[in-house]
Amino acid sequence: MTAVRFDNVSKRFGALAVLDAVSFDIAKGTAFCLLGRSGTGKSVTLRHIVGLVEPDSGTVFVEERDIKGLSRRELGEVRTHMGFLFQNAALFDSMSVGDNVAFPMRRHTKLSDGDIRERARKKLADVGLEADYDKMPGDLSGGMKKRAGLARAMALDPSILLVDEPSAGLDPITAKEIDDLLVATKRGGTTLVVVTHNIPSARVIGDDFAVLQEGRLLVHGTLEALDASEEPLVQAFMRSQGGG
Amino acid sequence: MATPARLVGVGVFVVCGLLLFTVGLFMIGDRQMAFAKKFTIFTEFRKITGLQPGSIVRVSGAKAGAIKAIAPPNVPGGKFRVEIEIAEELHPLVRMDSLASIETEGLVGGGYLGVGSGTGASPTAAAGATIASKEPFDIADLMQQMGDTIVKVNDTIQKVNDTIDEMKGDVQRAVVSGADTIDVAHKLLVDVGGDVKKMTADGARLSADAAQIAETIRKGEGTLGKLVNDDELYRRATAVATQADEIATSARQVVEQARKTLEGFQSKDGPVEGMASSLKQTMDDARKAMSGFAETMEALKHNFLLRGFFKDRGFFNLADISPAAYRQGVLTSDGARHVVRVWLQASQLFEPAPDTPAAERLTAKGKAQLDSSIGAYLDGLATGVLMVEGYAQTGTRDGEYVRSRVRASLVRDYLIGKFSLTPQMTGVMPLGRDSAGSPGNEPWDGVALAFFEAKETAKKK
Amino acid sequence: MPSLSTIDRVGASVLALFEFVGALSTFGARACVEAFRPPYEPREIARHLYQFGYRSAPLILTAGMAIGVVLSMHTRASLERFGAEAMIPAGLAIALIRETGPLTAGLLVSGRVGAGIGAEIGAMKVTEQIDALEANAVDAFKYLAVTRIIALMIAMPLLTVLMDFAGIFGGYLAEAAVSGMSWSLYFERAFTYISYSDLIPATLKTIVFGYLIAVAASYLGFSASRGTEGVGEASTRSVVMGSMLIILSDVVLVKIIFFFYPAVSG
Ligand SMILES: Nc1ncnc2c1ncn2[C@@H]1O[C@H](COP(=O)(O)OP(=O)(O)OP(=O)(O)O)[C@@H](O)[C@H]1O
Ligand SMILES: [Mg+2]
Repeated sequence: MTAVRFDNVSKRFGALAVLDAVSFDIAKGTAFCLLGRSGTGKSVTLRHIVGLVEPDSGTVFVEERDIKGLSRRELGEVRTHMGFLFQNAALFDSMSVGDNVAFPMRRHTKLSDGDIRERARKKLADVGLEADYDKMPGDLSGGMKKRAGLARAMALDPSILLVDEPSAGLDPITAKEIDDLLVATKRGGTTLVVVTHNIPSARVIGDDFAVLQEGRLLVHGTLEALDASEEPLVQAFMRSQGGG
Repeated sequence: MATPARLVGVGVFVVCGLLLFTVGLFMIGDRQMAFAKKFTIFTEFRKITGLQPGSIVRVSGAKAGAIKAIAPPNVPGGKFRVEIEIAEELHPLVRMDSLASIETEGLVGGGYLGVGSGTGASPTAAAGATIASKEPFDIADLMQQMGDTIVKVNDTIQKVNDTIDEMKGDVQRAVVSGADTIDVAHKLLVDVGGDVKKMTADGARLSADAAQIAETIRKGEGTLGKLVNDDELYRRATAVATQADEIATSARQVVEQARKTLEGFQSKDGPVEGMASSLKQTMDDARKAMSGFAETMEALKHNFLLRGFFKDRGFFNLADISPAAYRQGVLTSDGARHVVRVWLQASQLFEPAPDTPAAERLTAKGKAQLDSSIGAYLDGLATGVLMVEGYAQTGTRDGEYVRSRVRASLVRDYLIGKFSLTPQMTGVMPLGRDSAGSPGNEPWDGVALAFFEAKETAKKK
Repeated sequence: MPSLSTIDRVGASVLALFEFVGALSTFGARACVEAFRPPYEPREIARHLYQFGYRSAPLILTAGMAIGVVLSMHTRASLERFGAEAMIPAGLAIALIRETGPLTAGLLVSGRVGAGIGAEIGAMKVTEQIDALEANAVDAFKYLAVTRIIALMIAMPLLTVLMDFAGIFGGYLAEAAVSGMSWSLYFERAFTYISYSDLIPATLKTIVFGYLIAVAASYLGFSASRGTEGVGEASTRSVVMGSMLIILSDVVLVKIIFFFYPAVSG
């Protein structure tokens, strides 16, 4: 069963062709790592999956359903099964960090407020922010925001978790902890779509890999396939050690 | 998320806002007596200047309610039907003879409907009853009324003059038909003729006044006229119109009676008993009406709105003119009048009083002389002014002044009494020994009757 | 040809204007429809009501009192000439309740709240918070725009009433300083000539003001382009648009009020 499927998806922003007939499948319960140089369209690809961006042509399937053909309610339904960590975290800055994490639960569960708080606290503890429940997003560092954003994305225990550069701006130790969290989440049956520049962390998390270049997938396959790739860009990527 | 503290803030805000709004509603409701027990009556106006649904209603000045609706008339010239709501507690004051009127609060205030408290004799106005109303003051109405008055007065004068002419003809015929009644008839004609002539002259002056007043109001209409809602002015003008009617009626009656009397003389059976005395009675009534009319007109002229106008036209209070100002020609300076003087010697007019020889009194001969002197000017006096100038040449300065004043006053009083001259138009001017302009420029001892005639009247002669 | 390009440019800007008006109207109409569909987001509405109403009250009260003082001095200057000092409270109250109160409250709210809405939504737009809401299966239009529009429609007439009363109170202070009139007499006189048809339509018309301010500001916030510059622009344009819409709509609203309450115009 595929969790996400791109079928000849093309997307242009004005004169810029960001995606050019891109096709790929992501099997359920696996982790898909999307690599590529800055500005190639990785974030745009993720946005397609939650329906924030609609393809110009081609189809995006999520759990076998065409995202474009859904009513608002059905789309909402699908979205509650997905968690999305935005590249810049996108925390609601009118609420505290804890309320940010509690927000999806308040909206979509019938849990009591006490339960929600307890769960939100636990989610924050997972990303190492147990002490920051009542802080406002503006008072957090970039890395802390990122982790709070991840906690929010995971609040409803989604079946598909989309994360945009989860370890960007984190120290190696914290980055390692986040990687472990993602791996544990995957073990729990969640499908992961990870955009990252950090190859060592991708090696730990990922099952499938793809490199996006000029609107197309340069390579798509397992770690072995990428390591064996003749493409200079892919080779450069796979040899790199750090990065966000 | 909305914390309890915030919810309190929201609550405070909403409650305060709604509370104040409610206070406002109640303030208005209180004013319109929205929450008091009310009853409804009606009244009708041809004009509803300044009234609108929601306007306040006051009963004897007390806040009583509001106008609920105003139904316009369905024919031109019809009346607006005004539905009034009045608080039940003021019901005892609202009687069937209560009068509704449109009032303004202060000089520039909004309009409200005043309901006068009725009399105890009249029953209280039942709900749904219609009470009488007083039409609002309106400059345009006033103008119309003044215009009508002028027409009416002129009409009357014309008719009276015509009748007098006819009567003269009748008398001529009477002379032919019966020689013995001739004397009686002639005497009657002289009597009636003098009075009617006097009335005609008064009428002419009043008509001129009315025209002037109307003109003033018309001029002032754009500015002061609209701003000032002068009830007094309106009342006076209305009175003028009513009295003009009365005068017209009595003048016509006089003429009618005179004609009947004459016919009685002409008939074979001779004069009907009492006819002459009834004619006299009518004549008196007419004269009374005329003097009332003159008074009203005078008051109107002194109304503050018109005072400036009459001053410009030279309508001075004659008593206020000083000899110096008189000498400088205040009465002729505006060019509207010219003066004619009749010089009379003291020796021909006065004799020492029998008990106090120092004082003087008019002699019978003097009176006759005065009568003949004034005869030619009686017509002109309708629109003009008579100033009796007094002169004295013997004694000290102050003595001369006093004597000249006494002489002039004696003459004036006699003339006013005899010819029913308008006191306001007949003045005295003690000039002492200063007799400039006398015949041959001699120092004059006596009086001079100075007739200030309107130029137009003078021209017609 | 330069002239042709000028025509082109004028044509383009006219088209752009129509496009803007069209988009704004669609936005406003959509808000009306969405307001009646669940979920109703009462918590958000309450939060905004706190922001727009309670937090604006000090500004409105201060400004209202100042306006009351100024109006009182003006009415005194003109009514004194007619010897109609007794009419000062009534004249002031009529001016305040009929027009000055609603309009200045509208303009102040447009400045304070309109700018806030434009900036807040604009910032959420450029920092992807709106996308985050959508990704969390929340209708951002409803959650952000409709709640604010409703909250401001509730707050606006209440603020106007506050302004009216603050103005009357300010007028009283000015009057008391000159003539030492008592508050109860002043208050009584103030309402001498006010009728329901003065207070109710003039107050309720500010619901329209609230709607217009919130719709314009929300729309501009939603269409903020990327970057903080876009936020600033959304905020500034919200104030300009809001104030303009209020004044223009006031012309129409006053005419409508006169139509339905002919007594007011007399
Ligand atoms: N809403 C949009 N309107 C116009 N252009 C856009 C929009 N979203 C993305 N783009 C453009 O599409 C391209 C891809 O953007 P995207 O954010 O997907 O890059 P990325 O691969 O995530 O880069 P990075 O690694 O730096 O995050 C960029 O050139 C960007 O300018
Ligand atoms: Mg990106």
